[in-house]
Amino acid sequence: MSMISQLLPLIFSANFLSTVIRVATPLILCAMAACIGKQANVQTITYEGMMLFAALAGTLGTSYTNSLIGGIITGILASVLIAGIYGYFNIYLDTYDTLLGIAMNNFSNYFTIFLLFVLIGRKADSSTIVSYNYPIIDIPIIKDIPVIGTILSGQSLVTWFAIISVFVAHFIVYKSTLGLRIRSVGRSPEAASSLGIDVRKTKMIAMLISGVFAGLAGEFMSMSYISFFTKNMVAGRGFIGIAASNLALGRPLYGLLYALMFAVSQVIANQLQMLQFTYQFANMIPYIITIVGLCITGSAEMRKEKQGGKAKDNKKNKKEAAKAE
Amino acid sequence: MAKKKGYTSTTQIEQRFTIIRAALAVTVSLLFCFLLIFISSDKPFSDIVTFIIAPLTSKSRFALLLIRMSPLLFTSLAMCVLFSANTANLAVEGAFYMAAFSSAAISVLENFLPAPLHFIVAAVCGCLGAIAVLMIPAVLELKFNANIVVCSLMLNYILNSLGNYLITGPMRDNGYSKEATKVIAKSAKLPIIWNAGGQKVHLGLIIGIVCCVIGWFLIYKTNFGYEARTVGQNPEFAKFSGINVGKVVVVGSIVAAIFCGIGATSEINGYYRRMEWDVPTGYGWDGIMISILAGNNPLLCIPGAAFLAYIRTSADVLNMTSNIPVEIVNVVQQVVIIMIAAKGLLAGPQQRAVVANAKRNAELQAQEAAAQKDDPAGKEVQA
Repeated sequence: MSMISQLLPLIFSANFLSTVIRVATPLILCAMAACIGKQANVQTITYEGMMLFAALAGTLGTSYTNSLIGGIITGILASVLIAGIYGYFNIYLDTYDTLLGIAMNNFSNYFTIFLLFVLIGRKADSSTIVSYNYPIIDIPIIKDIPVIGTILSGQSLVTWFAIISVFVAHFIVYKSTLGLRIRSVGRSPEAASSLGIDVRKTKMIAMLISGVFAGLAGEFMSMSYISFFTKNMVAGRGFIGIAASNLALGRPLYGLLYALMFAVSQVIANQLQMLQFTYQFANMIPYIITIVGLCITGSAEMRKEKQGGKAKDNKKNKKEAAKAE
Repeated sequence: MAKKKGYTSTTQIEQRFTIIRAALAVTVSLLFCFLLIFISSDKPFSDIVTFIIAPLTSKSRFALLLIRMSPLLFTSLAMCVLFSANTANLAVEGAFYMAAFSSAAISVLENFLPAPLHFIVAAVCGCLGAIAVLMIPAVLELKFNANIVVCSLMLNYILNSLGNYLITGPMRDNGYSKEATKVIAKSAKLPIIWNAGGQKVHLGLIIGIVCCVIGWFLIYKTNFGYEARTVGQNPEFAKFSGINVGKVVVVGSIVAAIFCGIGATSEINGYYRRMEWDVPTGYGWDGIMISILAGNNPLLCIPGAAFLAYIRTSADVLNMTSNIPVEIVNVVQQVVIIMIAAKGLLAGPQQRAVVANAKRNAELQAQEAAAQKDDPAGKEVQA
């Protein structure tokens, strides 16, 4: 009880919200990536790998090109490359998505360590090389307003990208021709292809777009969250993003909400750790919430299907009844 | 089905292509591996030679290969059972880890039971731990339709934390400098079958091979195996032909968990003095790769595990003799998985082979039919 009374003031503070937004940044970006993938019905778990590659390539990119922009571009390209490889194998070579996803994730995990070792001679992190970070945005007037200033000002540039990305993803999915194609390919590939849409190409484009979002998410990890790359630094955030997009049924605006929800749980977990709650149990919280979330959406989908089936049955019965009359 | 001379069935061609694809995958990934060695090494040629022959150069290295191989047998076997039933339950990694804890809880008890019994009770306890883990994603999928892949991956993260908690907290031997449990009791240890220069090969290898044979029998020669394979090949068909899909998934998970439990217990009680895994071992992921390489056939898991253990040992030797990181093997492993899982690879040649074969079969049939017309009595004589 005393722990809860200690925790509550921490939760109801401007700092808490500011931390939530910071922690939510990669989750939001990844959720957007996963939303677009889900709309095109490309069920991948490789966002984890894309983020990891982007994190490494971003850091190394800033170091080698000696500019922030260079790093940002390298990171995004790396992520898009992984998305492309995934897309090629899954869409064109008909590779079973679960296996491919696991293999690509593990590949990213170990290949980043390999590259790190070959390029800078260390396996654990890139803290020995000089790399640039995303700038922190201080907003002039808002900065001085008590609560809002703490929340909005002083966030990383990527955080703003993340917020923009929600609207971009929403626009792509619902307001653009491409989005219409993506959704039609995702819902009913046969119908889409009968309308002359190249199903494979559309899926591939969706995959590459989600690669860009995942790339930004990965760059946040190594160029903003902390200032260098450490091995396996994505640590399941890609999966949490996927879970958020699953809960949101692929709708970006809802994806934002669920990503924020996961971020809140993660920050609470961190706060609990500071209050001497056994840290291993605190670490479990975001993952447990993800599983609970999956169960909720899963059973909702199941119910929907059952109801759909029943509705059809009812219609059939009515038709038959009408015939009998 | 009667097999006639000269005929080749489509299944046979598919099997042939499965083997070709596996061989191609291994070759391509080894070439990729050599490429990586080339990039990272300052003496690439001698390193490649070391990579190819290292495990065969001394007795102790070969023994190391065998030691490496034994846990892989169990996890790949577990994955075979799960994949046969079309269950992508990836919690094998966590199950193997947890089984090591639950069996160690029994194994560390001194003066508990006489020699073989102590190990058996520990193994049973390990199996229970593994069953508890593997049932979670299976039940969540059946009851709540939760995505089993993401669920089991999340579960692995949770178990990673749980294991870390156990080994740093309740199960830690505070009198020991590192984070580990108490010493495994002598009565629970597995006997050493070959001691080559300090590398002790334990009985777990034999147990693993026996388990693979049992697994093969289970998948290919029993009712459960038939049902599981039917579910694996076509879940809809299985449902309509009256197979209880839920039951198959549950039983499959239990069987896989039992193999995990035995494997983890053998590994800890055979090779280690104490249970000292503070992070999961990665054997679950290795199991996925081997079972795919083996086409879910437990007997082929034996050479599959040997292959992986071989390149692992090579990488270890390279790690000691040169500046090449061990991660190279894990990278190569993933390439193998991707290449084999790519059904579209060689799809063109396979299709052509199937078509050519069908044509040939039709010609043969026509010839036979013609021969029968000429000599109707011949058929009766044959019968």
